[in-house]
Amino acid sequence: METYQVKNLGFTYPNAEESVLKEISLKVNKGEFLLIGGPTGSGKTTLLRLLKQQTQPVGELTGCIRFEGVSLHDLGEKESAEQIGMVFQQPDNQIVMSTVWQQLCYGMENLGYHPTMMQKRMAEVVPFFGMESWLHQSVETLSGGQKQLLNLAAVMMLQPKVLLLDEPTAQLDPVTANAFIDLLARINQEMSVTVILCEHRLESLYPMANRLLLMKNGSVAYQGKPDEISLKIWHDQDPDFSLYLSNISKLYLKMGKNTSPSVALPMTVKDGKRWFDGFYNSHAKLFKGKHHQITKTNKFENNQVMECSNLYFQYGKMKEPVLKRISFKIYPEEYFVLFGGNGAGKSTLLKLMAGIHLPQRGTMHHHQSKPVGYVAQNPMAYFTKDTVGDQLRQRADDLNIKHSNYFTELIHEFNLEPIMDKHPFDISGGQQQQLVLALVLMADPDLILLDEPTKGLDPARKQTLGKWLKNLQLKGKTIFMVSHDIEFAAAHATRCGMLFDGEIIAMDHPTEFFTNNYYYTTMVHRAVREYLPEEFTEEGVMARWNDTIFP
Amino acid sequence: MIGGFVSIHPMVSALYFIGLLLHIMWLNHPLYLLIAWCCLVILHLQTDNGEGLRSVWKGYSMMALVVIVINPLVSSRGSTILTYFRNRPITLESVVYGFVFALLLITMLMMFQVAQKVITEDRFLYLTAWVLPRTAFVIVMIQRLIPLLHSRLQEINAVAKTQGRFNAANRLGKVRVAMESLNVLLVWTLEESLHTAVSMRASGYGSSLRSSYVRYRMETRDYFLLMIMGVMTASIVLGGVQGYGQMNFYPSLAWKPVHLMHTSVYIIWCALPIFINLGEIIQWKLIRLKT
Repeated sequence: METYQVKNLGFTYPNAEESVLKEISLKVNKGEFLLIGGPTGSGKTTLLRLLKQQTQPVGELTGCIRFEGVSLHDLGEKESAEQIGMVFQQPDNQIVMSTVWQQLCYGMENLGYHPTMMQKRMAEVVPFFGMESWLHQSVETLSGGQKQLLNLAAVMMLQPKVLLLDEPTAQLDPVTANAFIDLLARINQEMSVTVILCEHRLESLYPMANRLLLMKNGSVAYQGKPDEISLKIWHDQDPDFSLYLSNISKLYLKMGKNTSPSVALPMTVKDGKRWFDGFYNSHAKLFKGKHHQITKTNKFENNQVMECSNLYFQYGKMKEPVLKRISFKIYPEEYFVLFGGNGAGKSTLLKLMAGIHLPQRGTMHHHQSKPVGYVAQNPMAYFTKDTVGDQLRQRADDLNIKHSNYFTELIHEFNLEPIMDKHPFDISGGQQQQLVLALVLMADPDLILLDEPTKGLDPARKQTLGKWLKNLQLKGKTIFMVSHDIEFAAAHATRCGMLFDGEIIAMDHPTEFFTNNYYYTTMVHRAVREYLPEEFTEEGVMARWNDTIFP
Repeated sequence: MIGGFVSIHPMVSALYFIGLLLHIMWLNHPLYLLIAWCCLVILHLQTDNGEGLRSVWKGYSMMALVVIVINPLVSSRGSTILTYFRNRPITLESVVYGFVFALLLITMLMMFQVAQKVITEDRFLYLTAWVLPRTAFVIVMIQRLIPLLHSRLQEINAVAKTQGRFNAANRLGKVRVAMESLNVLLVWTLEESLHTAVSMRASGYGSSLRSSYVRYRMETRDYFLLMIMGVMTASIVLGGVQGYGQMNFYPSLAWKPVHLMHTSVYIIWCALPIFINLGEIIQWKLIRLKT
């Protein structure tokens, strides 16, 4: 029997002209790992939330949803809580209790479980998730990744038959995100729990998913096995979804169109490397193209935007130092990306540069008279007014530029005219980011600091952001961003650095940076490094390959 | 110390401290207070090597001194006049009462301090949940919310700083910015709490009667302790009703002679945690000897 049977499902939010979901029919088998992708606003979150009675948004629902043969409406509240587990995007919003063990018991307490039963479940789940060492900690001491693990563990306490997950790793860094996904795969494999997962970062999930569902404007655009869908997207040259192909697959499809179709579409680094090894050895003569050396600009050598020397920082007298011996220079028109693991001090360094914190020792010199712009991770912190227009006008008032051309230009550039009368909380996440960028740019800063701007963005939004930042760079602004997104940095950065244990370890041009790294490098580089050690992007590899010889 | 008195069931330790508090307040004979005080000093030393006392003893002494000096000056009750101060009689009774009252205050404060060490926040919540389950649940949720709000406010203020909003020249402008920050915090938190509400419903909140996870269980020794405490309280109260362990200050000092049995029971009551701790230490020694 299917876990879910969805027939002609449609959904319209109140006061909305267009429905969010149109005629969706779907079957989810028991023990399946279903991956749902699609741009923001395609309705995938709504679809996921409709699959559980208690999380259904208010609106008009047509069609029917059956859970294990029973209509979702007839499923009791207690059964629903037990059998359908849900994990949301924001780790913090789902935690209501103050310590880890309290949160783990929370769901069971809600359902009135007997204390002995709770203890038994705790004893099972806690070791499975490896939470013993932080079981009695207070929730506020946990990292984002730990919080999300806690949310998953709390749901697993009720032994659900299905797990619904709405972009659970969007707010996590790649290492903890992978740990989370691995655990999810284990739960799916070992307990045969059906998993329905919405995500933006699909590449790393393709190998785990039994089935992929791509949504567009409220309907299903593609449905099937991940590799089949990838091939189909490539053949259709679908502009909406070509961004969802993994870079390895793209490389294979671009190059290997003449190779025998017996080779399955590679999607992981492992498969990609195996394919490329064979491909390179049989076509070595064809890799005649030259490595495209990016010219290193030295024209600003003596004209830094910011110079930091020997910065030391700690959050309190008795606290461990977060930053040590930080010395570096930023030159005009640079696009600098700083990497580093969780808690390496990246955000702290950014706050120091923005003047939010003062260093204990060392000097920081900003060479221009212009201000420094700071784009925080969370746009919510910027919104003090009730409409987007008021927000922009107040900022312009503060800066005395209300009647200047620059103000109107900015509004136009970031497409803010259509949403001027809306509340900043009612616009989409992407629009919120646009608004924040406009607010920051209004002061005309020469250096713009961004704290993980690509977090939680879908591939299309990410591309747009990349374009905007590139434009700013071309206009003479300097960009310094902290990120975990290696593929994004590889496509845009002019210089990269790595922070480890409070110190800057490596700082180099992208070519040197990515080709010297083993872990912090692109998927493409990992696959081709043996034969083309200088290349780290798909474009780079393609440039080396001279395919004009083929008819 | 991790084992010993700290490890007994929270309800038993709470009952013990309630009993001790009532005894201290009721049996105000200096000898009895001194006994309680001595036992509490030892208990403090046992629980945290006296760290807690070390930081407050100066304040306690100051307070005691103030009470001792002020009481005879403001109260002229009592029949034995020692001397006159600015035409007001200083009586023996009010001097003694000042000393006793100071001792009583310090003993009580020390008791609360050690009780806080033994009945930690967790245990207190567990006890509250027993009596007022809803209140305890709300307290836990607030405990979770406060650090969250704090970190959000920090984020808001950081952004306000980089936007130059704190550069307002006058005080009124600063107040306006601060209010704005609080407003952002409120709206933001309300927005997020909508998601929290959905998540709470998703995990079955309100679907059935809530139960509560039991972290502490009554053991044989807890029942045994309860029994001893019951017997001792009965005998202490019996003596107390007859006037043992109490002192009358006004109009003149009066007390019953010390009843050996009653005082001994009182000593045992006050020293009960010390004995439990000592038992633990001896047990460790024995285990080490045997192995």
